[in-house]
Amino acid sequence: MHYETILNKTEDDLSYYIHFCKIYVDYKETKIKDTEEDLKKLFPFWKNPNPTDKNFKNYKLKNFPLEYLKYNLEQENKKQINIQNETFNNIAQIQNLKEFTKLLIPYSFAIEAKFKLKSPYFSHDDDEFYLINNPCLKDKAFKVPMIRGSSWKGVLKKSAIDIINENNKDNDSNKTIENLKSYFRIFGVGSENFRELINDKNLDKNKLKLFFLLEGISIKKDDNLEDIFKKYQEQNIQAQKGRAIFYPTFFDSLSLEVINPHDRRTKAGKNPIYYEVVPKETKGKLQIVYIPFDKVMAPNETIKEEAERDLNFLKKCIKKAFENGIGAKTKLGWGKCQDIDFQCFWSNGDECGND
Amino acid sequence: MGEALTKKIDIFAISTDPIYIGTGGYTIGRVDNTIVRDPITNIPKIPGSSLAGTWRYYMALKLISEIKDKKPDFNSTEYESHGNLKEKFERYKWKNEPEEDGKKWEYWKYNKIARITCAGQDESPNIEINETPSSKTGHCGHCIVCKAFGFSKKDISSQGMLFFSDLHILFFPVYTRFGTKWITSKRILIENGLLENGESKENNEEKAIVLENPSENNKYINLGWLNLPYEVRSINIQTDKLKNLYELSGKDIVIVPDQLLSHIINSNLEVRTSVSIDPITGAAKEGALFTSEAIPRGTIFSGNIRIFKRLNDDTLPEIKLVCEALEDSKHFFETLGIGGMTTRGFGRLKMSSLNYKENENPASGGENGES
Repeated sequence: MHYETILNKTEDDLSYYIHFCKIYVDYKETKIKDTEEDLKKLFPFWKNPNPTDKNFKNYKLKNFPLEYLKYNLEQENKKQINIQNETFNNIAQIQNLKEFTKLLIPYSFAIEAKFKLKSPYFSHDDDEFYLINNPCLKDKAFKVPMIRGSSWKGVLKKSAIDIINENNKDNDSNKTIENLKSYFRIFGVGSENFRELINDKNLDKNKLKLFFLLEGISIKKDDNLEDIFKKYQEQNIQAQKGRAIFYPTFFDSLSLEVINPHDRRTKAGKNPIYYEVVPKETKGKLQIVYIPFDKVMAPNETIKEEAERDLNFLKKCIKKAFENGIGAKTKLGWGKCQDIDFQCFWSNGDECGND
Repeated sequence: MGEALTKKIDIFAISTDPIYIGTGGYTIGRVDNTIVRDPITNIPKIPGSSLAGTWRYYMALKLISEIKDKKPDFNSTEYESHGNLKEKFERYKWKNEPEEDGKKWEYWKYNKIARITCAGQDESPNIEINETPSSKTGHCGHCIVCKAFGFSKKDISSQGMLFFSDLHILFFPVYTRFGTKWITSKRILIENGLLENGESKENNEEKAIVLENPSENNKYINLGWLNLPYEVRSINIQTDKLKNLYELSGKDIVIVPDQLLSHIINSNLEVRTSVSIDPITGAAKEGALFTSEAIPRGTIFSGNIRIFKRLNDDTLPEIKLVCEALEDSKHFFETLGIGGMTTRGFGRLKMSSLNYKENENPASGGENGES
């Protein structure tokens, strides 16, 4: 039998074919084994038929048109979002990192980590009026998929706590103190619990435990966290705003993912749930600027030491966050990133060590 | 004294992040945390007080980071032997910095006792101005930051030289079928002098005006939930004032009726729902859900700064120095931002460069932009 031409629009729009194939086409043969000539007659839409094309070799004949078209549609319609105005990126992200950092106060630094998504990224948008129930987060005015600065801050903070907990096992109290200090400096501490603790000369053990518990920092029974905190307190630390500023990340493509919960009894999926996601392989930029604004009066050596420590700590956090994933559904492995390129500049124009 | 006593500088800014300046307390609104609005038009704005307060801090930050290691030690023993404070400012030299007054605003001679606490609220307003060099806290009352933004001590108070207006929304981005468009209204354009003369000021109450037809077979444009009929009219809007800030072309602008502007802006604000996560359970905390609203990314603001130098006060810096100080410290708005939640992707703002050429236009009062 020969394939019918439904419309002569095949080259413009393959989606008609898809519907046609889904409903009407019924081949009897099982596998594709014909010569090129036959294939051309059979599938006029196949421009350069190749019986041994590894992409289609294993399909059954009756599924072939559909699979072929799907494959091609995917290739053609990688839904690229054309950001209508090229200056859009100018608005939200730093263009020239080095020049920009030079304006800042001494011992500030800026990080730019380019990454590639290893798995889809999804974060729920608050848009009520949308085609599917789970739209991907987009900028309000430009409708470009994005990761918010607040998401980055949250995920890096979580990674920081993980790192602190890992180091806690070593029972090296100095290291823990330094890590805690970096953590508080980078992300800031403004919670009421912390204020109470830091201003209280007679440290309440239970309150301290509660604070660490709420921060997620693990405590072992024989831990000397109390001493650590006492030492910490002696250094005249105040509750303060974090020094790091997290910039949003924007992406340029979208696709669809399906999650299909299975019925416990019949072991069959019933109601597929659609997610609009940023597909894997999409590239993005994470930008962080660090400004030690609270120590502007301190001697340079102090600021320098702190900034270098914080930079190393932040690098570890970024690495960990990329592994753990960002956005929603990270337990399904979504949102993992692969580091492509790491750039970092001090405010005097020097590059930070890239390791 | 060849320069004008007063100077008015127009400033334009574009939000590079959503901007949240909360009202605090309880204001009835669609969300828990509402933002500041103009009481008459009900359009969100950035109050001049927020602008002045943050700018004061950024100027002090820039100043201190520059002169930190070059300040003479006012509390050394030899200090006691000199005469009054004014003489000391003359005598004490910057460390390893040639003394050329007026060369750079950071090295203006009275900055020698500046400190970071010159920004923010004065913690020791009850000491006299001559005692400030020896005290550790509070405004110093001498440096360019204190002079430009004002200070108050026990025996002497001084009004600042800088008068800030509120930053009002000039163009507001809304997503439409035809891409992102920036809406504005005739009243706003006239107020900012962007409408060329000769264009009628009257306002069609039913139609939006676009400068270029976005599509041939459409008569409506959707601004949020509002489907508004539009007409095409070639109006010359002088967007060249925004040149160094953002290239806004005519086809991106939609002029909507004055009455509708506030509705469209208020229904297209960025609304966010936030929740706190309980680290023990990993789930959302009970009762920790709140919603907040913010002015979206890409909004273009306009406002002005008036600078006034009093004649009979020779301890004030030149207007040029103050302008340079503002110019050099404004980039902090692009990082540290303004308003709330600034470390979480809120509040960044990009300012146009301040045009402080010798123009003699008197500052017009009438706006409560006090610093």
